[in-house]
Amino acid sequence: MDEVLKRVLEAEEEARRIIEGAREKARRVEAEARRVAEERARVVYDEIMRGAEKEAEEEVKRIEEEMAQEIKRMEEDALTEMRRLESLAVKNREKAVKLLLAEVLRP
Amino acid sequence: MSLAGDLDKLVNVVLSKAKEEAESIIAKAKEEAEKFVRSAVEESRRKAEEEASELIKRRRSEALSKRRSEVARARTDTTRKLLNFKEKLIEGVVEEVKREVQAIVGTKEYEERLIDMIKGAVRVLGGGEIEVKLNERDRSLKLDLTAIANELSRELGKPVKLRLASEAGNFIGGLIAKSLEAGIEVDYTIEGILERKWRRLRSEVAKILFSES
Repeated sequence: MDEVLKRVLEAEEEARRIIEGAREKARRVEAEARRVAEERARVVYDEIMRGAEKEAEEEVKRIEEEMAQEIKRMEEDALTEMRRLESLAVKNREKAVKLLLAEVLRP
Repeated sequence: MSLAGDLDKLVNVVLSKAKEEAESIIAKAKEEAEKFVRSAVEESRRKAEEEASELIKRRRSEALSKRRSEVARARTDTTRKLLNFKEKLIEGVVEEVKREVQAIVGTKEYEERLIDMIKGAVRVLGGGEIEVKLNERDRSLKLDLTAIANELSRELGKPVKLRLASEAGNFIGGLIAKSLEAGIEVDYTIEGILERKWRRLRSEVAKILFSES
């Protein structure tokens, strides 16, 4: 009977070792999963943020180009208006001078 | 069946169950690990997409704000430049008038105008003893102030005495008349008249200057 008991106890001990080994492996799998999850999450985060940075830069560039065009248009319009005013002033200068001169000599 | 056979069977059952349980533990751990990795990646993606959206929104908003402010500044600048340019053209008329005055001060017409100005000033001061200040060139015209005074005396019905100031005035033309009794002055210099009338005539001059017709 002692022999039988001994074999049973040995089998149970072996079974415990097998299960403990499996638990140990499960812990390693879990630790590896944490490492992999962290790495993949960082890769995904970085990739999305890089894309966003690029998109934001392009958007800013587009807005700045529009701004530069708007300012350029405004300056061109002002220049055109200056030329128009100058041309009118050249045409009407004599008339304006005459009016003022007449007033100056008549206190 | 012998006892030894039963024992072997029992040992095999125990070990077999242990192996099954071990496989189950590992399979479960792998399944959990895959789930954990997927979930972490999804959570990271969700967080990144949220932050990315915020980043783009913020940069766009900053750029639009900068654009609004730069465009407004440029608009103010161009408006100021335009106004300065207009002002320069309008002021050009004043300068032209001054040049024209310089050109006519030696003429007979100017001399007549100057006499009219003296008369006008005396009328404003109401007669009495009046000192007339002229510029160096107009002093050399040797105007007959006594004749002018007599004419005004008759017109105003009171004594009028005109005398030339000891010093010449530093102005283009016209005069400064000072009542020696009342101590008041009338500024009929070209510059003075121009300055006073300019306030009233500026808009009219601008209207004429920039008229399309």
